[in-house]
Amino acid sequence: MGFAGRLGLRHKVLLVVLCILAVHSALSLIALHSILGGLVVESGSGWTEVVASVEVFYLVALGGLAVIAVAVAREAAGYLTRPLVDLTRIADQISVGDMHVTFDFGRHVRCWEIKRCNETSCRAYGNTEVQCWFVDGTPCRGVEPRFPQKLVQCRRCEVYLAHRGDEIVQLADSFQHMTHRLRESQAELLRTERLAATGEAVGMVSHSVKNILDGLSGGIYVYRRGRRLDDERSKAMGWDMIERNLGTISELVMNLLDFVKERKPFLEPCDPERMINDVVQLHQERADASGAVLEARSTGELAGIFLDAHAVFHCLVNLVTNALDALVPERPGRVEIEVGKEGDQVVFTVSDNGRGMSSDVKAKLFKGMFSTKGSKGTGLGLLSVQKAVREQGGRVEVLSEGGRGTTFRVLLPFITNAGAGPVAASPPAPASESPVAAVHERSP
Amino acid sequence: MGKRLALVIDDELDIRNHISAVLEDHGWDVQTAGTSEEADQVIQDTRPDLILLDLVMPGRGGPMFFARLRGDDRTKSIPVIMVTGIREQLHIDWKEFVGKLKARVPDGFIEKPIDARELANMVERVTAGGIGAQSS
Repeated sequence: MGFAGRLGLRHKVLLVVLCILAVHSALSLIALHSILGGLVVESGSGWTEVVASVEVFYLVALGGLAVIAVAVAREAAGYLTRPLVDLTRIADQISVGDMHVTFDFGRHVRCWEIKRCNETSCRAYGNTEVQCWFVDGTPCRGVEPRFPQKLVQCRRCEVYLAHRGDEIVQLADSFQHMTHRLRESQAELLRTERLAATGEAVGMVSHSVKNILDGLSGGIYVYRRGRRLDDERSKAMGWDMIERNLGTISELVMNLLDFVKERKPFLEPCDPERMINDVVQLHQERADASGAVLEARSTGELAGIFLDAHAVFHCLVNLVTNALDALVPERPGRVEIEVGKEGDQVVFTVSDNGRGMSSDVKAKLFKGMFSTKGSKGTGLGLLSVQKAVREQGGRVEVLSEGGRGTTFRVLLPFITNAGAGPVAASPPAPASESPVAAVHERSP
Repeated sequence: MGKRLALVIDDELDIRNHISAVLEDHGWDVQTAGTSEEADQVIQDTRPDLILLDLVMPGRGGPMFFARLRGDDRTKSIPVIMVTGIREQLHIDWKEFVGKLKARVPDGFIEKPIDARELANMVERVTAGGIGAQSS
């Protein structure tokens, strides 16, 4: 790549302006000098000083003009490049799955104010995210209901004319519209995915429920047998079976309800370090009982972060429970929870040195109800984690190796300037209720 | 005349406990196995008179374990009852499955949650002398 190729657009514009100025100045100086030189020859040497003064004045004027031209060019270049830089940043955000992008090109017009419209049920009414001519189903008289057909009429509308700008504004509009559509289709995809997963969950839950019912009826049978035979061991075993299966069915039902329910993230100021310490404290007794080491570690500056604390805590509890369940007796167990900042994301990591996962198990992790824990597992825990993380615009990564351990990474947007409340994590548009992020499964 | 021995193979502890209790109530000695490896060990040490086998087993699945039982001269005549939590799993084309082995299909199928009376009747039906016959 040559020198020019390495320059930014702004510098290229300035360079061009400077070149034009330099050439123009040189040519005009030469021309002026020739004209004034001829005048001196014709009129006598008395004009020499006057000519010299005129030339100096002309040079000073050229310098002033150059300064003004450079300033104007700089401003013009900025006008061109600022939106492009913003659009590049936004495109980068979208490409990593962060749909919480905002546009601020100062060109939004409010159709309901211009047209004095009271159609509050219209999807464009109060919509400051996308311009009305991009919105399907607006009830404007004589206008096609759908984009892009409606553009023919919209281009004659006073709202459109009030907004109409140059190519940069049009590019920003189109980009904004594209993002809006992308967000809508991803929200739709999430809803469809959840419906499908719910259907699958309901289908698969019958298997878990049958096992649990068998455990309950078996427990009752064994307990009664113990009473009949006056066998304390049998009574204790039956009671254990009943308790265990009641616990499992409670967990199953709660997880299922949690999984099916659509919930908006409630962002609030949060101390992630304290959160992971609470998770450790909650599991310490169990870790001690199995001789495992359970540690929390915080790295990086996390002050001022907003998170859906309840949901994140629930996810971490789920992941740490899984990690403790995965430990093996062959070696001293170790589970670590870590929180830190990576770029514009907060990352929670839960890792263990347990049995790890085969590629087969890893492939089934987020695809319906699947558990490696037999009657102890409901197969819904990780699905709930995935759902909660997605609702906050994050993603889950899994790194695992059979026989060596597993690491789960929960990556969430690092939000510091959100107002607390249930919609803070989502853009204000109605279609953006469910931000989507990819689930990544990695191999070591 | 000793009691007859049943082997219950299931990765779910509670299912093993439940089936064992029902069989013990009907005069059987019961051994249990949570994995196919444990089951192999029991079969090597003893010769069960009846096997109750979970259809969905971790590792080598129930059907593969069943095929191996039927393919082994020592175990091919032992009555086998398949246990499953998913009705659809009972619809395996067992005739085709065991046809290649020239062996007979499982002697019975029972679905979870297990009804104690139904299990007792099935065990009685598939074992020649009936439950509690204690013929050996």
